[in-house]
Amino acid sequence: MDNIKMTVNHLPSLTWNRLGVNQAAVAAEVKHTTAAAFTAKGTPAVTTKAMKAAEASAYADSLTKGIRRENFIAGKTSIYQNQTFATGLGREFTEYLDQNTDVVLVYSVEAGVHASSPMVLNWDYGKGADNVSQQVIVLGENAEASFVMTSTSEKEAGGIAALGTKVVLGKGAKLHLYKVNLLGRDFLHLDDTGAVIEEGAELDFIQMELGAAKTYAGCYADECGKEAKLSIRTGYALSGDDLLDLNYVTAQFEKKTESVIDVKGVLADRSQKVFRGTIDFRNGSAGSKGDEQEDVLLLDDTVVNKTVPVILCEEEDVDGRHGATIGRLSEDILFYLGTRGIGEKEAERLMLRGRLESIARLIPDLDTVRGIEAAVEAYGDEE
Amino acid sequence: MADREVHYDPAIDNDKGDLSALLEGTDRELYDFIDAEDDFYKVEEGLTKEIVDTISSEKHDPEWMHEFRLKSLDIYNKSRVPDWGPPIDGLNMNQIVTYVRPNTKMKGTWEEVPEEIKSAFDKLGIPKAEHEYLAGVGAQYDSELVYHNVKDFVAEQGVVYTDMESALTGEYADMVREHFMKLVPPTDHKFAALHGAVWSGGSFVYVPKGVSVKIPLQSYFRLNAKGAGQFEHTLIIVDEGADLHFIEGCSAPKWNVANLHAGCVELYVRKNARLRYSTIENWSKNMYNLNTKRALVEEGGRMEWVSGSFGSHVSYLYPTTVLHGDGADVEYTGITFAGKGQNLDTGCRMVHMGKNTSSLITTKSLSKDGGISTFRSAVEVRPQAEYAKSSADCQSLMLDNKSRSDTIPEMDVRTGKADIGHEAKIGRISDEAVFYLMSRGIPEAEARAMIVSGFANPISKELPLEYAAEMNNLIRLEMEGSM
Repeated sequence: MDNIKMTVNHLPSLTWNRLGVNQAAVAAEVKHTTAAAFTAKGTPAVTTKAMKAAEASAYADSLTKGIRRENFIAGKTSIYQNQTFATGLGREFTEYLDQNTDVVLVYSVEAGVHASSPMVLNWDYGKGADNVSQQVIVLGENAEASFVMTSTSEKEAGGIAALGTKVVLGKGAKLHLYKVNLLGRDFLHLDDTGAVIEEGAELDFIQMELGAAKTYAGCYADECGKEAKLSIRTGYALSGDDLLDLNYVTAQFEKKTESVIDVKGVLADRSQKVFRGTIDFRNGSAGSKGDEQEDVLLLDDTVVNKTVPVILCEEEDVDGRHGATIGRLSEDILFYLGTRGIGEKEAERLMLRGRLESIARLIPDLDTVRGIEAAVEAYGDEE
Repeated sequence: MADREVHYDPAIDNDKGDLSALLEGTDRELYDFIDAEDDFYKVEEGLTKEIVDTISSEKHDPEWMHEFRLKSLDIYNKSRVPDWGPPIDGLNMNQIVTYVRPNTKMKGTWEEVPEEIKSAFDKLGIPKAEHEYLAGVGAQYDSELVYHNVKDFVAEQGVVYTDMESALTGEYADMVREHFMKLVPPTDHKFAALHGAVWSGGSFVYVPKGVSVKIPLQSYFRLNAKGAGQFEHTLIIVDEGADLHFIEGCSAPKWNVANLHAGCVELYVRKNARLRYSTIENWSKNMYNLNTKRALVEEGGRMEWVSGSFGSHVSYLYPTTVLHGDGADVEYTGITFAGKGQNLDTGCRMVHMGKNTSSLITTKSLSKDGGISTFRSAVEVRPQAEYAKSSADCQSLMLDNKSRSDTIPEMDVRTGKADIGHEAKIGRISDEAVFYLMSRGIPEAEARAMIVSGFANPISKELPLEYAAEMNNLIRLEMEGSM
């Protein structure tokens, strides 16, 4: 496994460089000789095939069937468009994955098959490990499946956790994808997702970022069939010197596509967060809708919060909107809770719970939900 | 999954400077007249030390300004062209004339202004506006002011409104030197450096403590020369408790080669003062409008920007407000209308430094006939800006599916004691609204124009009546032939 030095999470349409949000630079040294312990709790509806990285990459690329991305004309464009199979973290990370992964697991669900129980994948980093893994998930027409992916370790552990997932959804298919980060406090976590969503297909993506010192996560979705749908719901809780850098992009090509990006979280101590969210309505996406919302609760005066909610549009008949609410707990709420005997710290935890547990309870794996609840309960205890 | 045909306008994307194809369309006769300038003084095309020396010499700069220009030129030569924003490959500085002086000195009455220049301003309605509802007027033609006047009752209050050249060496020379390009230093970006090197023209305004100027001052900038640049500098200081409304207007005839506007506006709003700065920008559609505007607001001060962007081939325009003092606030109200051949990148930047500061952003943008409109902003809340508040509401209207509209805001919050909100919407004129109006006997084209005027209403109501009428007229002109 190679050391890491790259830029990731490129903003599709660049803005002022001095804001420091056009991309993120990542560097880390590999320190462990051990990899994470991987377990998969399967379901017979999902077939698994191992491929060499180059073979899996060519296979995934072949499923994109010539999606065009080169039609940007407004601002200068970023490098993600050089990817055949676009992902949130971008080209350099994809190349790193391909160079450092021996075997890629390709999960497939046949057309028309509904997997009744979820596929649960866990990478346990124990006392510390460095690990790279990637997988491809392909759902045939009208298939439906759920994948829960968790990265866990002991609380004080550290290392590098790099994960890449490519998703291809055939017509009318539906994937529920849950990615949960419960890593220890010294990890660098890189979590990349790319999706191609065909006609009438739907990706329901939930991402929970509750661990690691530094996390770079991204998702790029090509909604390339009419009435394709994407929903991204993300929850995070940062404290200490945590860093979270997010990049979500949805490109809506066809008629009546829909996208929702909903990000909620809490920042405390000296933690830092960057959220880039881009809804990209392409010419031909008439009747499409896109909505992105961000809700950030700031608990300390030393936090840094950056938000870049972008809408790109070259189609007349669309309904696009974004909203961001960034702030502290209002005096009214604190006073109200105070009159009921709830102190400020407890009130903050209540607000965190409210933001995260409504998302967490949608995850169809009890152990994962309990892990999230424990992380929420322990939030802020270190400081 | 088939390959998709995408809308693509190579004239805009490649931006090689061939503007003739882009200049078809709306005939804006009111602004597009051209006057002969055979006897005007011009420097050579391009940007060299010799040209900067010549401009400095022609303008009788004090030595410090000559050195400032040369230092700025050096910064310009070392700076990069922005790697974000609309392409400006069609702008070739080797073909731009940076200084064009009309064949007249600045006059204090319109009767003294040479007839051919006076007639240009007559057509634009400037003398009439001055007579009816302005407290003072500055009129710049190409690189120099040709007319400057302030009404007696305003001058008697101690208000200074003069051209920058006179200010540079006159009674307020020290004040000018203390403030000139301090808010927008030449190191800010490549075109700020260009401005520092070749600036000429513009106005200096000083409003003394406690003075309230009841009716607006206006500067009007006319760029007539083919292939020329205009680099006027506006410096306004509104002292403690004072109040001013300043209006800036600009226009140019259309040429089939690139013209450049790289002006600079520096505004100082002192303690408890208020400044409203209104702009109706209507450059011709061969213009590269790379303008920089910035305001510094002290304790309890208030800055109000009202901005209408209708002209230009390419615009980079983002008025910046630094809320330096506690309790300072700013309101930005803007509209951008991008039509055929236009790529207008506009917005604003708010920097909260003082406690209890607030910013309010309301913008509307329209895109039509292949035009590109981009709203770009930054709201920056520094750690010491406790209890800062900011609210932004951006709405975009797409009038066809040949055009493009992008929204790229950024918020950078570095204190937990802040409340920041941002909302944006993009959509089109609803069929129901058009149908409703048509069912009452209004033709479709008129119905659509009415809806667009209604969309722009929150902006136009912020302008003085005469300017709101001009803006509505521009919207009507732009909407003509849209069916």
